[in-house]
Amino acid sequence: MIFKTLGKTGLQVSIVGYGASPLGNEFGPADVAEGVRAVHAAIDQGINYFDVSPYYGRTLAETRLGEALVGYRHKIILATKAGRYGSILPDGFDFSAERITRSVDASLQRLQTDYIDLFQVHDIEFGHQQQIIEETLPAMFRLKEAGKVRLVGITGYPLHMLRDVAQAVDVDTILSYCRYDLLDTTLDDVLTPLAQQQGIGLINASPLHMRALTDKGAPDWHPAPRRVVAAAEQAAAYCRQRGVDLADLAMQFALQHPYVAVTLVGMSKVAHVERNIHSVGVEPDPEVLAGVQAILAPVKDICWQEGRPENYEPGAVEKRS
Amino acid sequence: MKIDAHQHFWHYRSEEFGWISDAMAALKRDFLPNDLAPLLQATEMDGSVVVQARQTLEETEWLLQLADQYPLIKGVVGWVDLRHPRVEAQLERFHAHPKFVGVRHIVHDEPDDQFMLRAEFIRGLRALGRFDLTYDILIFPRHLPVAHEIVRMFPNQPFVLDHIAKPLIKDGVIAPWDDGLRQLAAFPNVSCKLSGMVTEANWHGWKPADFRPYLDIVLEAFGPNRLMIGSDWPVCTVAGAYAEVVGIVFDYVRTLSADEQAAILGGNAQSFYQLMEG
Repeated sequence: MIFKTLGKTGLQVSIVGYGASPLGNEFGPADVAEGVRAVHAAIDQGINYFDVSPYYGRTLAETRLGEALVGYRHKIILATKAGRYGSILPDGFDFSAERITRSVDASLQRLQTDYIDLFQVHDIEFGHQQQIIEETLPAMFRLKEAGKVRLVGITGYPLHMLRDVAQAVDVDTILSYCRYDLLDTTLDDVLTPLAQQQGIGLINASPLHMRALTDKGAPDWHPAPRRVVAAAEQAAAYCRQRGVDLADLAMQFALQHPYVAVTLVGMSKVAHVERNIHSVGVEPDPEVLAGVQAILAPVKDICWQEGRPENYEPGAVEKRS
Repeated sequence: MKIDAHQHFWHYRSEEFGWISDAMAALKRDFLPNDLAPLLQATEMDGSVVVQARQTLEETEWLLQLADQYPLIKGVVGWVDLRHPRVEAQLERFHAHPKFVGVRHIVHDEPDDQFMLRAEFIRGLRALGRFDLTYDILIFPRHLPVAHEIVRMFPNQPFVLDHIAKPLIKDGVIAPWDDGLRQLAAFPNVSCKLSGMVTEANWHGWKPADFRPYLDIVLEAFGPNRLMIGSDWPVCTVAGAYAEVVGIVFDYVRTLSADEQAAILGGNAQSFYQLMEG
């Protein structure tokens, strides 16, 4: 494993982070015992960063991760979130100070611990920017003072909103997804300079672009326009002909980022852990990478609408599904 | 050619050598090529590889200047800041020197046991490959698993393990050092220096037999073509005279074939560091 400093927090985090959403059956039923083995294998292999949310599996992922971490909690950095509890507005979201404060206690209980290393506002684009800045984050900072959480961060998809909130509030970390990978590198246009300048820890999730960058291809529910998914399929075929798996190339590409500290990947099986570890310290084959980048160039940096319309990123396209 | 693959030079200044304790008072003076020359001559060594001790670019510069003046210095393992975002510029400064053969960082004194796995350091190691330089791994036994991960990531980078990873010879401790060492030796791009052993033994009262179990394991793990004799002079003088210290390895290899002896006593260092004759 390779370790990086998470911004000015000074934490040494493994560059591959364990995404626990699959433990909550987010992508089909996960075998419970295998999930526990996957968590332990990850720790054995040097992964020290675990990411979860009460939203994943509607609290199931937190419960299962908590069970798997019994006896291991002190060895790892545990990150969870609050504010998102369902898929659809308005019921799935509550960014009020009162809910955030209740949420941490429930998460602590499910995760069987007495502190959260990183507590994040989950998907801020589903909230009102003013509330996030003036109510949600101040509530989180009070939890930091109370010792229930050590660090406070924000997560979401639209980069402009993440940047605006980080400019208004001194957050420890920012997490975004599908914004630094073979299909989209706009993270570096919008967020990375600010994060570097302010020492904000940067977390990149979904380096496979929500499975578009895999040999199997994107699932039906993928939000990107059809032409993006089609180009990714073409890239997968190109890789296959060269004996390379697009997913490995995509992972290797994401892990090369000079500033991003942790890249999060969902894992619920030991085989997932081993596969991802395999890409650590491996540079992508330059020829295959150039070929894939040429195929993906016409559809690169296409982002979609996510959250409340007022928070849509400029230029975002309508979701496919 | 017989080569001492590991020794140091310095102008002693207390503030630069915090690790030299009062128990090591004999080291609190200058050690320069003219001090080493008669020792090499007496043991029929043809030259040496000098290794950094202070972690400054100035020291690397100074060692290369010494190498210009003293033909006995066949190679310099210097220091550059491998963590530095512009490490390439530092390597650029030295790499044209024909005797600049490798880089070392004093990893075993870093507070973080996983220091070598930090992304900045790994980036620096990657730069070494572009300059065709070797890397000396200076660690304690507890760091062996980390070293294992590093060499796994760099299958084409020549590494050499310094001082057989400093097992606790004084207390006769073998495990888990032996496991870690064997796992590291499984990578063909890793060599090992038979050096620094007396410093880990009982300084006053070691016997050649104290080293035999360790040497047996190292020889079995690396074979005769990836081992190189080194004195670790002048550090070794806390526990023995130069001739006594290199004598441990001279005696140990006596049962090997002539070719194997020549390899361990110089040939392997010559090919590993790509040393020139002059």
